[in-house]
Amino acid sequence: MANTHRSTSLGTALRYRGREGMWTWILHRVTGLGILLFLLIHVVDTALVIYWPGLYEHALNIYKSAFFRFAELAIVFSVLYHALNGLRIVVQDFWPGAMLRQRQLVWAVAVLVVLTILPVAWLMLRPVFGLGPEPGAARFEAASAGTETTVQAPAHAAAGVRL
Amino acid sequence: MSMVTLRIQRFNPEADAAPVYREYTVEVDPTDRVLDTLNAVKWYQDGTLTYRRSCAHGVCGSDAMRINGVNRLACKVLMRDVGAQVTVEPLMGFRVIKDLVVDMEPFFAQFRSVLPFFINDARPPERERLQSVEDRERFDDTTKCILCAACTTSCPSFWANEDFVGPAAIVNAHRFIFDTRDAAAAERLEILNDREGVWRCRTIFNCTEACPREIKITKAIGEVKKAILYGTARA
Repeated sequence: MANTHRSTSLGTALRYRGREGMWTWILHRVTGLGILLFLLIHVVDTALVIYWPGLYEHALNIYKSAFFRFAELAIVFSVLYHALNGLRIVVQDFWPGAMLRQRQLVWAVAVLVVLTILPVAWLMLRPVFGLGPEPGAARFEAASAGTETTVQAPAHAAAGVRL
Repeated sequence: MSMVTLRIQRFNPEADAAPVYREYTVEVDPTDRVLDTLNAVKWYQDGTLTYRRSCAHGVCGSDAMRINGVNRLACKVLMRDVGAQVTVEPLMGFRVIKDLVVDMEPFFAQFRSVLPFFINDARPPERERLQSVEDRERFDDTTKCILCAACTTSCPSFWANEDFVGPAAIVNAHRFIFDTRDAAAAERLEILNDREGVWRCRTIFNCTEACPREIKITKAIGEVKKAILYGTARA
């Protein structure tokens, strides 16, 4: 009985030496799944505020840890990369002539992602390393100190409307 | 002359349960091609090594294989460009018949499915069916295909789904879809609008990078997608 073999395993596929196009595609898939995972977690934790408010507070406290600050940065990166790379694919789909410059387009997306993520990373990670204030902390403290006018209550709340 | 180590994936379906790698040391010139090195192994070291080659000059498309992890024609790659350690493996996605020889029948079935031949039932003119230089230029790139399967077997969409019609078949459909003398563009666009047709392409560009004839394959596929979207190849 003759044996059969077809090379199609994931391991073999990842050993194929594809170039920019292959790796951007893999990253597009990974960031897409990452965003989906975030969305599922977000739906669950937001639902907690209605059903188990205590657990909601607990979840928010977990998110304040340094680990989740990095995870949140990963979410920002995923959304940013997925959006910009998606626009590159749209451009290629509607103007196939752009594909003659496909590698340059990949590097243009990479540069845009890096230029955008660097200031965001600085703002988000600064407090973790004690290099600056928590974004929005000053506003929160001002509101807590009783100067509520700086933070506007939603119109329906001010009017006493119950949702 | 220098010594190189050739690491070849071997598979004999009548003896091996799974492929194995064997190493051969060969003396080569920098201007030798990978095909010459395979010949040196087969002729002087191990006559059981099996691979396809015919013209040996990059025209027949017989000796496409994975060289250092990427699809190439063995007759077009020089030893000086691959280093002292070379890994040679069969094309991915097709059944291995023996060593570096894969079953190309599914590939040719994909090719045939797009009607890769001239169709025009109108009465031919007295002389040639004339065409402007610009109209001929429109599909010039896709006339260059030699059906080596380097593109189709480099495509992750094809690895994941062997029913995908694959880049080579789309290239050959493009060659006729955009030919003003041909009358069956609509029929081919209908065939490629299938769920196993052009829409499985994710513009990964492995095909374009692998093509030994430097056909802009992903661009050609993009043009076919656009023709389907707008309902005409004459836009």
